Order: sequence, then C-alpha cells, then structure tokens
Amino acid sequence: MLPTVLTLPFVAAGLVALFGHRAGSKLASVALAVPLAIFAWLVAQVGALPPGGLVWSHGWIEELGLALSFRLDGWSLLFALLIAGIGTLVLWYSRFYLGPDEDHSKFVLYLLLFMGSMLGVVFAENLLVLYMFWELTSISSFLLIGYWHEREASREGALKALVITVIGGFAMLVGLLLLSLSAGTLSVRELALKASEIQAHPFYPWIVGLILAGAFTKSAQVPFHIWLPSAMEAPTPVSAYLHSATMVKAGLYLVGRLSLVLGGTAAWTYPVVVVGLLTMLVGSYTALRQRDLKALLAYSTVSQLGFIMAALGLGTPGALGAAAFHLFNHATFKGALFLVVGIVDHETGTRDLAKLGGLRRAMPWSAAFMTLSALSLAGVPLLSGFISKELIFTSLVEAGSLMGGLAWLLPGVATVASLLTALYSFVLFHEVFDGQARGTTPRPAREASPALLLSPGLLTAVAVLVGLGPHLVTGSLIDPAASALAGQPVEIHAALWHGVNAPFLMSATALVGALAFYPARHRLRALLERLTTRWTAERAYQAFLNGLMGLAQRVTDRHMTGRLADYLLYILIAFVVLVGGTVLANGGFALRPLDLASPTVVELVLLAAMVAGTLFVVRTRSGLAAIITLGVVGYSVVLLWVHWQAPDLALTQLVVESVSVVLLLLAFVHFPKLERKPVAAGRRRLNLAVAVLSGAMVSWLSIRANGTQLFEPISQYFIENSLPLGGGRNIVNVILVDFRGLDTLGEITVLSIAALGVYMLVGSRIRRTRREAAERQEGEGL
Amino acid sequence: MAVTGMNFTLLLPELILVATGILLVLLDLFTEQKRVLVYAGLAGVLASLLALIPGFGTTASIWADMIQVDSLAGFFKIVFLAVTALALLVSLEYVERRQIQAGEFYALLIFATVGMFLMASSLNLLVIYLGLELVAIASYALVGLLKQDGRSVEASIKYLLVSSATSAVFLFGISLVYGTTGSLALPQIAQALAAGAASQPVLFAGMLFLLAGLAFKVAAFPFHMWAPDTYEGSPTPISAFLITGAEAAGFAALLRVFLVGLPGLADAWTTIFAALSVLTMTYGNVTAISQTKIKRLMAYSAIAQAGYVLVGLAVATGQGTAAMLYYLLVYAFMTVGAFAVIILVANSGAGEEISDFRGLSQRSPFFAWALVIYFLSLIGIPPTAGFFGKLNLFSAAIAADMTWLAVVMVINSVISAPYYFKVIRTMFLEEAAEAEPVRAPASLTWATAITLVVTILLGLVPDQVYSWVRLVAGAL
Repeated sequence: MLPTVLTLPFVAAGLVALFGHRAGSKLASVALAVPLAIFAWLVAQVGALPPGGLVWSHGWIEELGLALSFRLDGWSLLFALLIAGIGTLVLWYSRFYLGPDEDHSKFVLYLLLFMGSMLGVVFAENLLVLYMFWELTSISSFLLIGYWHEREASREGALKALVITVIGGFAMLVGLLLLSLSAGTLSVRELALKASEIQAHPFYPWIVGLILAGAFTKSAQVPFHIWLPSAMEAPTPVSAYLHSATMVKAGLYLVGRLSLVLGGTAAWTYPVVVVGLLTMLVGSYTALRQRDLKALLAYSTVSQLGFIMAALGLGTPGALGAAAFHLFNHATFKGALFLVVGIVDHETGTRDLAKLGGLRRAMPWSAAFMTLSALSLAGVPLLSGFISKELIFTSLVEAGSLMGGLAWLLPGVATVASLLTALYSFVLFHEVFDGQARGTTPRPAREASPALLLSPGLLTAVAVLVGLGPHLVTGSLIDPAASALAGQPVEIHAALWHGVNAPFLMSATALVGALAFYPARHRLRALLERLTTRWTAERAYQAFLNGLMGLAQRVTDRHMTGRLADYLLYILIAFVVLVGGTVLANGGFALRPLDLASPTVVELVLLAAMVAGTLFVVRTRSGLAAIITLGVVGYSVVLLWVHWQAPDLALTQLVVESVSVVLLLLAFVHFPKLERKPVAAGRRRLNLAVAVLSGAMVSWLSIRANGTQLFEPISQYFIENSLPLGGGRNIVNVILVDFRGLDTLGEITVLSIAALGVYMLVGSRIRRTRREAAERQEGEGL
Repeated sequence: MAVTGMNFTLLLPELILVATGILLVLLDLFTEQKRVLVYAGLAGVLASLLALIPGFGTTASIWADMIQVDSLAGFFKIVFLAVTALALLVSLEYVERRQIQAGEFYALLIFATVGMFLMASSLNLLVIYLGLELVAIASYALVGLLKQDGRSVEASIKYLLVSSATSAVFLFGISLVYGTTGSLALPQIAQALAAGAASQPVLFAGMLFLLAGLAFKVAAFPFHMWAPDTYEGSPTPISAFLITGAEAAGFAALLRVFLVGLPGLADAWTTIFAALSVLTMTYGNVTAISQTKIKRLMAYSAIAQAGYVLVGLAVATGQGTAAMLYYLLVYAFMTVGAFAVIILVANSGAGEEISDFRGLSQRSPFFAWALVIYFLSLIGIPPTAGFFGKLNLFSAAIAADMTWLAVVMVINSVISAPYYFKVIRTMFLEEAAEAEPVRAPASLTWATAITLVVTILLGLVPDQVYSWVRLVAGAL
C-alpha cells in the first residue's frame, strides 16, 4: 500500500499535466480527492502501525546495494498526516483563492508534485532515497514560488530559495556519502544499530556538519534563513503549505530521524540547540519589525522552526515528544494564520499593516480565526501552542540544570524570544482587526465566502480542540512519533495545568511582558529598525552572487580573448609548468655526459644562419620578408642534410620548403593587412620568458632522448640484406620498392587521389571564372 | 577468447560506416532530396550497430594487434553510434534551412565517427593517433561548413591551428615513449615500464605530451581555449556531435593510454589528472556564469563536465572507470538532447542568445520541460541520470581516499546551478516576444523524446547499465 500512496500524487500530476487544462478552475476540487484519500488511509493507520512501522522494500540498484525502501512509523505518520491533511485544505482553499483566469492546472500540477515528493521524504527508509525526494521538493518549491512569474520579486525569490537549498542539499549529499562510507549502509534502521561505530569514526564531525548544513538550509535556520522571506512571493496557499506547514519542516524531520544515529554527542547537541535558539531569537525580533503581514509570518515561522530545532537537539525523550507536539501545533495554527492573511489580502487588496485596521466588523469570521490562532502562537493557555511550548520549556530547564552557572541561559533566551513572539502575535489580530476601520485599503473590506473560510476554520478548530484536550492527539499521534525517534516508548505529559513551576513562570513572564510592552511596540519597532539596518546574511548572499559573477567576467575577459597568440601562450605556459614540474619531481634535469663529435665549421655557420633567420622572422615588420626568411631557415636545414650526406632527406626537405614558401607567397597576396597591436612591456617579457623556457625544455628533451638507445637500429638489417634479398646496392631504393613496396604503393595511390582532387578543384575554379566572365560579357552586351 | 589474424567480421562495423560515408557522397550527386542522405546515414549507423553484436563479449586483436575488439571498444562504439544517429536526426532540418552542402556534411559526420571508432578500439599509439587525426580533419571541415558565417570560418581556422599544434605535441609524445620503451603497443609499453623504463625522466615528458594531446581533445584546462570559440561558431548539430562524441573518443583514448599503457607512472599522472580535473571543472563553471549566448554556455558547461569525468582518471580505480563510462553515456544523451532544443529555438527564427529562450514554456511546453530535465541532469539533481552519474563519481573519489575531490565536485555542482537555472528561468518566467507556438519537425521531436527517455531511465533504473559498465571497466 505504501508505494501506491506514494505514487498516487505523481500519477495524478501526470493526469493533470495531460488533461488538467480542460477542467478549468474546478480542477482543484477534483484533485482534492488525492490528498483526501491518502489522508483517510493514514488516519486508518493511526494506532494500527506494527512496531517498527510499515515497511516496503524493493531492489533498485543492486550494484550499490541500494534498495527503494520505505517505512511508515510514528514520526513519518505525523508528517504524512500534516502533508495530506493540510494539502487537502490548501487545495480546497486555492480553488477559490486563485482567480478564474489564472492557470489552475499548472498550480495543481506543481502542488501534487510537491506533495508526492514530500511524502517520499518522510516515507524514505534509505537516506539516499530521502535525498532524491528532498531535492524534488526544492524544485517543486521553485516552480511554486515562481508561479506568479510576471513579478520580478517572485523570480528572484524563487531563485534565491533554490540556490540556498540546492547548496545545502549537495552538502548533505556529501555528508550522506561519508556516512555510508563509515557505516556501510544508508538504511536508517541499520544505521541506528551502528550508531556507536559511526560516532567513533574520524568522519563523524564532517558527517554531522554536512548533514546539518542540509537540514538547516531546508528549515531556514540562521544564517540560511534569508530564503524563506523571499519565498513569500509565492501565492499564499503555497506559503501556508510549503513554507510553513511541510517543506520547511523537512530539516526538522531529518534532524529528528537521525538523532538516534548521530545524536547524543556534544558535536550534535550543541550546534543544533545553539542554532535553534539563535534562529528563534533572530526570527522573532525580525518578525516584530515587519509591516507586511506575510513577511511577519515568514519570520515568525523562522523563529518557531528554530524553537522546535532546539528541542530536537536536546534529544531527551521528553524534548523529542515536546518537539513533535509543537511541530504539529505549529503546522495547524500557522497554516490557519497564513490562510487568513491570504483572505485579508484577497478581500482588501493589501497586506500592509499601515493600511489595515478595524476589519473585525466587516470580517468577523476571519477575525475570530486569526485571533485564536495568533493567541495559540503566543502561547496563551487553553490553546494548543501553550501546552507544547510549556513542554519544550520544561526540557530546556532540565537541560539548563546540567550547565551549572549558565543554567539560566537556555530558558532565558527562550523566554525573551517567546516574549517577542507574543508581542507580534498580538499585533497580528489587534492591529488588523481591532480599532477603527481606517478605510485606507485598496478595496473595501468584506467577509470572504464560506468556502474560502472553511480551511482556516478547520485548522483553527484543531488548535482550539487540542488546546482544550491535548489527549486527543498525544497518545495516538505524538507519543508514537517521539517513540520512533527515541527508540524507546515515550509518553509526554501534556496537561493544561502543571502547577506553578519554572516553565509556567517562563510562559507567564513572556505573556505579561508582552502585554506590558505592547503599548510601546511602535517605539520598540523603531528601535529595532535602527539597531539592524541591513541583513548581514542577506548581504553575504548578494556578495557571493556578485563576486561569482565578477570573477566569471574577469576570467572571461582576461583569458578568453579570442586571440590565438594568447591561447598559444597559455598552452606553452601549461607545458612548461607541467613538464618542468613533473620532470623535476621525477629525477630532475641532469644530463649524462655527451659523447658526440664536436661541431665542424660548416655546421656552426649553418646554425648561425638559422638562428639569425629565426630572430629576423620574429623582429621584422614585413610579412613578405618573414616568409622569405623562414625559407632561408629551411634551406639551411637542407644544407645540413647535404653536409651530412643524406641526399634523399635533403631533396625531400628542399621540395617541401620550396613548395611551402611559394604557397605562402601566393596566399600572402590575399591576406588582409597585418595589424600589429602594441604589446605591453610586461607581456613582452612574459612572452620572452615562456619562449626561452619552452625552447630550453625541448632542447633538453632532444639531448636527453638522444642518449637513450634501447635496441639495435634497424639500419644494420637493411645494410646486410639489401643485396642478398633485394638484389640492389642502393639501399634506399631497395627499401622503397622492395622491403616496403606495399607502403610505397599506398603512398603513390594517396598522392594520385590527392592530385586528382587538386585537378578537379583547379578545373572547377577555372570553369567558374570562365562562366562568370561570360555572364559579365552577356551583361555588358545587353 | 583471443582471436588473431584477419577477421573481417570483427571489422564489419567500421567497414559498414566507411561504405555508408562513400554512399552518402555518391547519393548526394544523384538526388535533390537531401533527406534521403539522413535516412541512408541512419540505416548505415543501424547496420553498424547490428554488426557490433557478433563481436560482443569477445576480446580479439586484428591486424598485428593494430585493432583491438573488446568490451571497452564495444561500449564506446555504442555511444558513438548513438551520438551520430542523434546528430543526423537533429541536423536534418538545420542543414536544409541553412543550405549547407548536405553530401559533405553527412559524409564527414560518418567519417569522423570512423575516426572515433579507431580511437576507442586500438592498443597501438599510432593507430590511436590516426583515429584522432581522422576525427580532427573531418571536424575542421564540419566546423567551417557555414561558409557565409564569419564565425564559423574563424572557428574552423582556430580549431585547425590549435589542434594541429597539439597533434604535433601528441606525436612528439609518441616518439618519446617509443624511444624509451621500444614499443608502440600499449601492453608492451606497460611491460617495459614494469621492467624499469619508468625511471627515465624523458618518459615523463613523453607521458605529459600524450596527456596534453588528449586533454586538448576533451577540452580540459588549460587546453580548452579553442572549445568555446569552436562550439559557438560551428553548425549547432556539429557542436553537439563534437562536444559529446569527439570528447568521449578522447576519454576512450585517455583510458587506454593511461590505464593500459602507463600504469607504471600512475603516481605521477593521478596527481596531474586530479589537478586538471579540479581546475577544469572550476574554470568551466565559473566562466559559464557570465555567458549570454547559449552555445557558449554549453561549451563552458562541457568544459566543466569534462572536469567531472576526469575524476575517474584521477582515482584510477575500476570503480572510477565505471563511473567515467556511466557519466560519459549519460552526458552524451543529456547534452545532445539540450542541443536539440537549442536547434529548435534557432530554427524557429529566434537566435542563439539565452534571452531568445524567453517564454519557451508557453511556445513549446514539451521542449521547455525537456530542457529542464537535461539541465537538472547536468547539475546532478535527482532523480535524473546526471545525479546517478555524479553520485558514482563522488563515491569513486571517496572510496579512493580522495574525499576532497568529491567535495570540490560538490562545490562545483553548486556553482553550476545558477547558470543552468538562468536559462530555465528565462524559459518559464519571462514572457515571449512572440506568443506563436514553435513548430517542431518530427526529427527534432524524436531526438528529444529519445534523449529524454534515456536521461530519465538512466536515473531511475540505472541498475542494468551500471552493471554493464562495471563489467566493461573490470575487463580493462
């Protein structure tokens, strides 16, 4: 059943891609059946899962021992329920949220793709399989953020989200490979059995660092959180679904999933808790600065993700349970908040706090949902957020008690962040809905249709019900999830009233503090705005992109000039470095003493002529003179052959030299005039150095190679055998027509064919010239 | 089973190709319907592919060990034939529109394939050189076939000059190796090295010259400068053909020369390949970012991809070789596929700037989505074939204790994401200048469909093919 559930969204996406455009705006309500069916099946699994979960596995890449294996246990079930449940509500909502003219089929297609990928992430038993679905969620998120592609900000946001999550994804991949190298498997269950082995492995710190990098980027933890606010350019249902309820929680999912494998050490706990709390703090006070409702919710999400991350990092059974519970609650009330903000935006045309106010009268239902959900976020008693927040506080206090003099640190930071959270939560409903209606909205406010209100209403209802009766979900859903993470049965003690203890005091401080500060919120906001003008992480990201672009431009301008002379220089430099370096590293440039005859006067004179000719070629400004001088160098070689009594070589060289000089001269007439660009002095010196070094190296090679003789030269054989076997005294002749007769035949054939080709070319040229001349004459005749 | 002597059935694939090339030249004289040439070429390629079957699984050398028929050669020949067939398909429309001389074009394409065959199926340095030159000479002409286009002619001349220089270097390398080991046959060279020839400094120079000559062919840094100019100027199907086929042939020769011939010097060349690999991929990816022309972008992307493949030589293990082979196979399909889309856009009247891809998602959703898949695969994002290809290379590097190399690869993959996504963004998120749907000829649709299916299947169900390349690599 597991693979069926997993493939269902993809199959549905395929159908939507093929036939979706026919359904028009009703498509979403039809497609709704998919997540609804999945949700129903998942609900049936609640309490019915076998110990160890529901497993399905199929061989995939045998060579790598990689199997397509999936498992549904308590932890996955919690996520899957959120994915399918909120997915259903979001699809329903978007059917009414998107205008009738918008491309519904594309939207539904992307959303189904995302849903399938996200289910794949939480079902995957093998971490590599998880990674594949993980990246798929990034891509579908990219498509959804860029859905309104006519907006520039939307494109930028989509790209930024993708770049950051892809970077994190690749880091995670390396971490996974190291993990598989140290444990020999990527199956979560097998990894858990080898936890101590992995934690003792020298790769362990790397594995932790790289995998956490992946989790932190995905879950928008500081300093990678900058993509999440930019992603808010997506249509609001997408923000509610991906960027609050599900996708951003994938990092939390992974950290939870691996806490049995990698957790329990300082190298794991400290980074997760510290980054988590830091994210909570940074997120909540940035949220307070926002005037755009959606941006506020985005930073609020960042903050809450950090809160849950910190709880997961603590890793005690109680903390894991609290994290799972708060994760569930956050998904519901934050989903409701996003959807209500979407309604406000939809009905009034703005999300700007400065323009909104007093909407309660016009939009009573929205106001009620927003108020209840925001109070839950603030942690007000009788609502779901209060209970799970208390549980996390409890774990933080316990963890703090182990830290001696710093016992106050973790609870203290969490309390401050909670205070800020409560403060902006109050802003959410108070500034938007209470007070006088200002009439500054682009459209007059009116309540949305019941259909649009249904989804946020249901989510708010969950927040209220769970707040009143936490046992509705704790025993059936949260405890199994935490047990799956802890590897032992966990039972969380969710209650409305625990008595006056440290966590309660923290909650009370946060709420009372928020109420006290609330009247001064505008001044506080102004203060915060002065404190931090710019986002350093944002700036770093921009600097990274710009730097890369600048580097690319510089390299291209400098290096890829398009001039062959430059290319040649680079190639020669590479030679000098490569050959020189390697030879130095493997025996050096030492030469054996040479046992060669000393040069004769004739040889010296010819050598001098060649050197002089070469220098002249380099220095002369006349192309004609250069060609002729090149010939002179060639003819000096011919004379050398003559001097060494090798007439055949001399003749060959003579012919080649003459022909090439003549050809060059003939072609020279057609060349465009050579332009000499002035070369900078530094460049000249570099050219000279490279030329001298290359020359020296080739000389060394020739001399060195000359000293090597592995076997008898073949010439002796021909000297001895040309008369008895070939019947001729002219050894060269005998070789050509006898010993290598077939070669000669081949050469003659090739030459003949080439000659034929030349004849044809010349002939066609002549014919064309004649024809053109004839045409010209005719033209003149007319 | 070792077979010696003249065995023509084993040479049949090459002979069929040569015959096809000649046939195309003749056909060109007698028919005005130039499409026929493509069909005849495809038939020849198919016949050659069928002729490969009898020799499959055998290891034999023919003509005094000049030609080697083995599983590695078989693997590469299949890649070459696939690339050639796809190149023929994507050329059909292109050649007609630009009025390129069809006979020359298709015949040279086939002859270049024969050269690639030689490069992949010989253990003799001279024959490898012959193959290399055959590919090169055919390519010079192919690159310059857009005679009216100055860029095409310039590309051809540049390619000719730089390539001749490096060919000379390669020849010099052969003579140095021959002089120090006394043989041109790679197995004998390996024996001579084992017997003590490895200690000669001149041999290192010879090795490096061979390396440089072949590094030029695969456009590895610092011998890559010709590639962007050449691939930009040449007819687009030829860019696709050279970027995949000729490059794969260069890697085939690299594998043969270094793994079979020079294992005795592995300490030196693994280091060099590792350095070249890092420099090549980084250079390619960084420079690709600032490109505004799609063909130049693909050229720099090709340089970067060659850097990834070089990882396999840097680790010099069976696993590394298998990863290389798999990646080359995947690379051929995804790149030719991407070029098919580029050709479609160019044929539709838009140019070859990245901005010409604006709104392609509306004008032709199928091709736009196909390009997305190819690009995701080139970045290495699952579940495409490129992901699995890169994963193999990562694993090979890590298994060979070169984790840093895997890390550099990953960083490079990250750097590469923005420039591919720039194109995707242009296609999906920018409005087209004209909203008319693009008319796609059947040939391009087929080429895209085939490459698309392969790119996806090699990512989703890589098992069979991966076992095969493991076998091929193991037999090397």
